[in-house]
Amino acid sequence: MLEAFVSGLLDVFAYPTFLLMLLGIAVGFVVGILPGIGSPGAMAIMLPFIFAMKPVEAFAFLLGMYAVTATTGDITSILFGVPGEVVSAATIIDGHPMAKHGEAGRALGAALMSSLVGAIIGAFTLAAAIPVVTPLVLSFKSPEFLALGLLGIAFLAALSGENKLKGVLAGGMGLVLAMVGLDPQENIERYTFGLVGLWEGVGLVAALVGLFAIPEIVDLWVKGTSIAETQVGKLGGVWQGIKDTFIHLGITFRCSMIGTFFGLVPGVSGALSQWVSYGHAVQSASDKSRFGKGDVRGVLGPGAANNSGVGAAMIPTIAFGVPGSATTAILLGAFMIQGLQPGPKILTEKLSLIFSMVWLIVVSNIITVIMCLIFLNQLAKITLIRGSLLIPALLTLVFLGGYADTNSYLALAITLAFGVVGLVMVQQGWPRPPMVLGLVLGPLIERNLFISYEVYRFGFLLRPIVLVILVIAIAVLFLPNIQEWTARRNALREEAVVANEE
Amino acid sequence: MSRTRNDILISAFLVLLLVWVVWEARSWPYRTRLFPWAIGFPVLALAMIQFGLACWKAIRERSYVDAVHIHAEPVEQADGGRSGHQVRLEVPTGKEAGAGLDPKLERQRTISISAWTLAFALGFWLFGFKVGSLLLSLGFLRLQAHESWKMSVSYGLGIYLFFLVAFELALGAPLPPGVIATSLGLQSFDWYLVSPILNIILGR
Amino acid sequence: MKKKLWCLAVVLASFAASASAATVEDFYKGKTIRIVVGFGPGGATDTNARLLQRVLSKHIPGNPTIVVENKPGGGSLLAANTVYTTEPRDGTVIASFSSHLVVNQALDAPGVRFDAAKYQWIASAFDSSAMCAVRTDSAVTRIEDIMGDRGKEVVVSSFGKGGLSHIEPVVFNAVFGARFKVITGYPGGAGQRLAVKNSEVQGFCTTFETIKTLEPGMFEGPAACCKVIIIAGADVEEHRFLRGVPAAEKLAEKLGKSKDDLAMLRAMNAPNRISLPVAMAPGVSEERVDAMRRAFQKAYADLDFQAAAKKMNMDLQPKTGVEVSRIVQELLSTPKPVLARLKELIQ
Repeated sequence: MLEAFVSGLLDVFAYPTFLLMLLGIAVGFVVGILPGIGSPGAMAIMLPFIFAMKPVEAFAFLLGMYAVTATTGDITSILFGVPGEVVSAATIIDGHPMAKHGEAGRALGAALMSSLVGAIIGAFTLAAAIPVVTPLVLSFKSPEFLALGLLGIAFLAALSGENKLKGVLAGGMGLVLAMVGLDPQENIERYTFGLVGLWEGVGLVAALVGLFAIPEIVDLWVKGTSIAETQVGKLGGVWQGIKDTFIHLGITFRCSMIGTFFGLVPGVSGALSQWVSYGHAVQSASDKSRFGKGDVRGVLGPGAANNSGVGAAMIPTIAFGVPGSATTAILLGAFMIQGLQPGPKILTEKLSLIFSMVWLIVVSNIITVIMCLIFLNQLAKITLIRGSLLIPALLTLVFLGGYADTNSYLALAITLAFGVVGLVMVQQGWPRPPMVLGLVLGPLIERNLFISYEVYRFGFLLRPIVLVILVIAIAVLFLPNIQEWTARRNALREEAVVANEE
Repeated sequence: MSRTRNDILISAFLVLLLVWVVWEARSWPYRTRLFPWAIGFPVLALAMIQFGLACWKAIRERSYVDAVHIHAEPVEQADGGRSGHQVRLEVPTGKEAGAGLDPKLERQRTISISAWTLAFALGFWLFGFKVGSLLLSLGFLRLQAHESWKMSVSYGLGIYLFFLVAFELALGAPLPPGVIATSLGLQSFDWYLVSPILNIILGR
Repeated sequence: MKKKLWCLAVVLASFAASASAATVEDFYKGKTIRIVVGFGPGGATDTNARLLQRVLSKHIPGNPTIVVENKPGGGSLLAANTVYTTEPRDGTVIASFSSHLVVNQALDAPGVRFDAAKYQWIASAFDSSAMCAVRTDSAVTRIEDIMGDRGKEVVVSSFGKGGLSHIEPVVFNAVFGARFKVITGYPGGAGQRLAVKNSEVQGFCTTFETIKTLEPGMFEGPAACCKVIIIAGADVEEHRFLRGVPAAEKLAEKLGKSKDDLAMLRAMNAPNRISLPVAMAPGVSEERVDAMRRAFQKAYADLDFQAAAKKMNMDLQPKTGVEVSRIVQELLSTPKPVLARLKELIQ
């Protein structure tokens, strides 16, 4: 075990593995910054190049690319409000307002450092968990997936901000939108207007870029300024962001664990864990007033979660052949191309390769963060360019991002439609995160509800892991009320004390 | 007031939409229908509550206005559709911040950028990403943002070249040519111009 | 023997090729050919296309650039529709979609906007067969154990009603009185098989090619959990996973099933015999289609390609465009009452 751990590390630094990783990082950096194209597109294009490589070289190349895109996605989210990757949408909620306040440097520093910490925690948790990971993954069946979906629903309120009714309604609309397409059980068209392009749903990428990026572009033009509306001192603040990661180490750590856990669950992608960790960051904060307006904790949570899941997500992918996202699907393809059979025995027979992958994720994250830190001030200066010059490039990126996910023109219309929805929601003070959460959770809940019932009838509710998750969900639902209640009682007590003193 | 009015309109729209959602499901088989109803009806109820609340708020505001004999205008400005931009309200009003924008100008600018967003989407559909982004960047910068010709042209060409070099040449991932070129049976609009030049450069 | 014939065919084809190559070569020179793949990157269809992408160009006159474009949607129906209806018909677009869409057309399923009989089929990669497997701890060892009124019920996972993972068990149920209980809604083939591995269900149905390439670990080695109990077709291929497994058509004959039952078994299995097909829209000129058919034949025989395929555990049995067309025609001319019954079964 330990031997594999060390030899895995040594393999990373061998020639040409290390060089290929650097090449992967470089490619990932350039294409990863384009929304939608992001990692899946770039990696798919690179697949034919790996035929001639050895396994560890191929993964150095691909994981180098993947690790970067998980981080560069956060950069576009913060700077432009354009989600660079599906997994970095939650970073927008607080990261972009920070950029508008002239705190782009701080937000980027926080995102990068929390990504790094997340990646390291995730990788080492994974390494430690390898002996028990097979039974753990196999204990997750349909009822457990369903319970996780319901846990996600419990976070709707936490993501709703001040107006809970609007938030929950937005979440409900997300669930309704998630029904567009063929239903998972009977394969019958629902709300598709006869368009085959809608059979597999509205498309998360198009929905995300429309919902988040288009309102920001409109706002940028209406204001007639640069993205940073105020120039608070110097742009920097990068150090502040890095320090924030360690000031709020609790959030960073817990969200890394959330990311790792969700990564391990087969077929559940980072698209869910980022919102759960964002919700957790909000809930665990005593002062929630700054969330959604530029609270650094809202950047740290998702930043840590989406990178910590990268390593963990490899387990269901290669040990069980169940990829949780477009990117891991390609990594699985790469695995096959390398002549490796996915299966639990990979965890025992190819342990050194697994550890190489873990190390690759850690090392390429470190390199990426160092590279980003060097260029960060230049990157943050983008927020000072006048808005009118950014708009054509941003509009191009937004529509290209929406299009590239499915390569169909219909995606342009979907992006546009979600842009209108997003615009109205922003103008009228409706929170957007619950809608995205609903969109992500809908299929997970519907599929597994039916399967759970058909296989177990109502017995599925009594499975131990299901019960644990449901208890957590109930805690998540009622924790805010309890917090509020204790806060009110404390306040009353303090008042009483003050009154007594007087 | 206008925000309250918009809230009424939106929640009314949601109510109608959700009625359609549950109505559509009526003839589907049980397992197809269950989820649309299990989600649809509660969300419909929420939307109705939201609609009721918005109406109630409107009635209260009106009676408040009547009672204190304040002209409706100032109220409209105080609450006028802008509190959605909580972020902006937090920003100290300075020369760069848009907080001081006059609502009329704001509406005008919202309409123009929305039109351009639509134009970009249409442009990409008709002309593809390479030619579309060239034309639309040029158009937007020159006509709307009143940038110099030099800036507009070099910007448009810059995006075009980025697509050409990064996507088509380096990655080997051609971008869609747009429906016009496709329906004319052309590989793309710019291909006939670019390919001879490329052949010379690459020595083919 | 089969392989030798195949090589001979390739050699003959390449002689014939030189005749009409001139104009085709002029056309393809400097052009880009897109392989429009109906699924997202990473899966079997995509990987096959990208494997071909590496070797295809040198076998097409004029050596055009080959790119792979993923156009996922509707289980590849979107790609099949788009290439048939809107993409240029000059020979620069190749569609790669699921052969099961031909069944959809035969059953008048919604959304099909092409006629598989008019699609110009170029080639297919695998000649496989539908099969069902059960967990070894399920107390079922033979198909006979689950047949008839006293047979045990076996719960199997499926990832899409009407698709291959669903149509196989229901047809076996209808023909043999087997008692597969199908649970639909699993997310994709990977999700379907995960449910077997974690013993949420007791079995699954897929193509034999899928388990040979992707899941041999489920049938041998330390994590082996399953056993094949029936395979479609008239003969059983020589393979260690298939010892003693009955061929469905043989079994049906032995049990004296009707002609219609046999026709239904054949129709159900036809798409698997032309797995991973590629096609060009009607209207593409004959000489370009011919050139492309030859190019694919040569690409599949390319040593580079074969080495890559072998590394991936893929057991290729490519078919020529003409053979694919024949199987498609056969499937489409299945007697109407049989198709009607099939349609009823999957509803």
